[in-house]
Amino acid sequence: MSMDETTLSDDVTRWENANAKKLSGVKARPSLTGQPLRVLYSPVDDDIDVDAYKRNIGLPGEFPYTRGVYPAMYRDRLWQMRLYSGFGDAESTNERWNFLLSHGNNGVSAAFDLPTQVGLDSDVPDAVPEVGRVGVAVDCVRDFERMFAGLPVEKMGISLNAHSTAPFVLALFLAAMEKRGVTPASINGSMTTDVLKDYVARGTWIYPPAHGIRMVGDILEFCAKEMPRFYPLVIRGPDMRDAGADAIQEVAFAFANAVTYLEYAQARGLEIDAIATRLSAQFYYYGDFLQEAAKTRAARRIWSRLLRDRFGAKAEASWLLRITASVGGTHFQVHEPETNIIRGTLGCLGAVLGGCQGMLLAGYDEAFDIPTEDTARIALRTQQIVGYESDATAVSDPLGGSWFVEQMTDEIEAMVLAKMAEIDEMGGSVVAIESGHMQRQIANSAYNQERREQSGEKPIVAVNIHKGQAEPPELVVHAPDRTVGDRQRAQLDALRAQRDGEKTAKVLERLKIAAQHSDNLMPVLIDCARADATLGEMVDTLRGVFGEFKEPAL
Amino acid sequence: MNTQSFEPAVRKSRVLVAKLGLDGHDRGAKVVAHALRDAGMEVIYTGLRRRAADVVTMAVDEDVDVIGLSILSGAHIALTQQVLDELSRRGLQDEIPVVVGGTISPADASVLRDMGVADVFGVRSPLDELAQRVQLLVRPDR
Repeated sequence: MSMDETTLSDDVTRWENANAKKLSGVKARPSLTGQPLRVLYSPVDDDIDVDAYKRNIGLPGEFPYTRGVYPAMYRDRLWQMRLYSGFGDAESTNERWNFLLSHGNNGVSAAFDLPTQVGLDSDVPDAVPEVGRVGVAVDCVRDFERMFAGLPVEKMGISLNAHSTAPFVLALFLAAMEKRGVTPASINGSMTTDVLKDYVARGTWIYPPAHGIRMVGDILEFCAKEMPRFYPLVIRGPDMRDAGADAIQEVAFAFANAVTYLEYAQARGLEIDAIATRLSAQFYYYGDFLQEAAKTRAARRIWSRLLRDRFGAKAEASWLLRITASVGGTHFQVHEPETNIIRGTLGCLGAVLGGCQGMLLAGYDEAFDIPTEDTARIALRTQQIVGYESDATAVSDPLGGSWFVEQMTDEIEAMVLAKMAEIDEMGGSVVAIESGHMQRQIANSAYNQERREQSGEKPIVAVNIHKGQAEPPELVVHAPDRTVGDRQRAQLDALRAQRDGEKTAKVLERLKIAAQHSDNLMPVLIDCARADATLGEMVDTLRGVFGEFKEPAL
Repeated sequence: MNTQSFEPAVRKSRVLVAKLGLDGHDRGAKVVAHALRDAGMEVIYTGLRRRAADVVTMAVDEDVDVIGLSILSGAHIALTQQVLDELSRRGLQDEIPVVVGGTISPADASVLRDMGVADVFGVRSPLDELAQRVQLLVRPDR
């Protein structure tokens, strides 16, 4: 008998009654036996250690959320399929977004070029070779106006993938929306914002971590007040995994960074429940999809206890962790690139079986360049086929109760917690970044992984086993538009000539003063954007106050 | 009792592993640095976002035998040319060989060799062979 004297069957009945409306509202789903599938299959009382089940696994939509964040999961709604997309200038990106939306993409997920990610205007010499290459070039409000032209921005999800430059990108975006009469409160979407992982892995850092964290705090505070439908911070692991981290490092380092943000926010006087309800996470999915699913379940369990027990969050919405999946990056191969479609499918399955709420899936040409229309379409179709044509979505947490998956979930949880404790003992994630601890661990893991792949210990089809002789069909890769840089420069020249230069200078001076004090920078950044200050000008103004990050020697 | 060895100290080969441009993908650079160290070389890693002039200055200051460029942004020809030009400008084009690694097509690899690059390594180059080929570039009089 369980401690609270209800049987597991009692719990399931109570859960069925509590969620009766949701459960009876879902579409019937036939099974291979001809009997309709239930939404959830659970053990019966005699099967398992009921106390441990109730404590660690529970039911979907309930603490500790091991089995998912919603009761009926994908029978209620599928995950948000939102391909990471953007290249060239605002027009080419707008055209690609329309193409994807017309094929069923749920909203848009903006990929910015490297100059935008590190805070350089398109006409800076260091930026020139990279303008519009791996994402869309943006310098000023006009770029955002053109990029979102004709799109139903209040009726779609909008993900802005900006980290070190998140405050500037958000300011330019909101100023552009304001010109259309769209208020911040009506925007539904997310911004990645996780600046700490830029120091660990992505390499798109600008300021020293303390200032990066302060601006994350500014965004959290601003969005809690002004943007109730927006998720302003996505705790990210994929960049670390791409840099060579293993799955344990991925989750542990991402959560250690989350602890830093939450502690900072609390120290600043923000209510934990005012911000935690709008946090989400993003993880990477390789081919070991059963274990990746277990990782996802473990991550939710860790998060719920972290928020409830360590941070004292009271709202249930603070305990549940929504997860976006990244599929396809470094594990997509150059050899026989079309085989990456299958690798993407396996990663997609891991994310779905783990219960993700959103997914980005790379084109199978990822190892060569950004996706073409064709490879992006297949990445979207992969998700749709798993979502609509397979029974991975038919029941909540289909792997729940699998002895393998449950034990992997427990093991991953224990290892992640141990690694998080290690970082706590060092003094937190900023110490672990500034000393190079996280970077070194990831570099070692990357090296060991490379050795395992080169020795064949980790098989990769067509790469280290079953290498074929035949040349695979030729791949048509993305053809970059070499004239984007010139057009961006012409626009910047015109902007600087036409704007009220004195007004722009004044508001940039206000930004500098606000940065020297502890003011929230978001309102003045929006004023800068309204006064046609460029992204690079705003970034440079703060560089003068905050300085630059110095990489630790490895 | 004198136990000191009088064998001449063998100078370890020194390699500068460099990242140019804005690209932050340094996984390959770090894996190669690790492999070269395992093979007994001294490796200096520049860190991210270096300009050609910084790379050559570091190479001179650190007295390296070989410069290795890791480029995954697709801009390998332009960025490599900048480094070669900078070496020529300082009269070092015959002193310090340059090798390039990254996502490089066979056609681009020949272009790089014609430009004066000493060796080119594509993705998944076997690490032990890579270390041997870098070692071969170290001048014997060093």
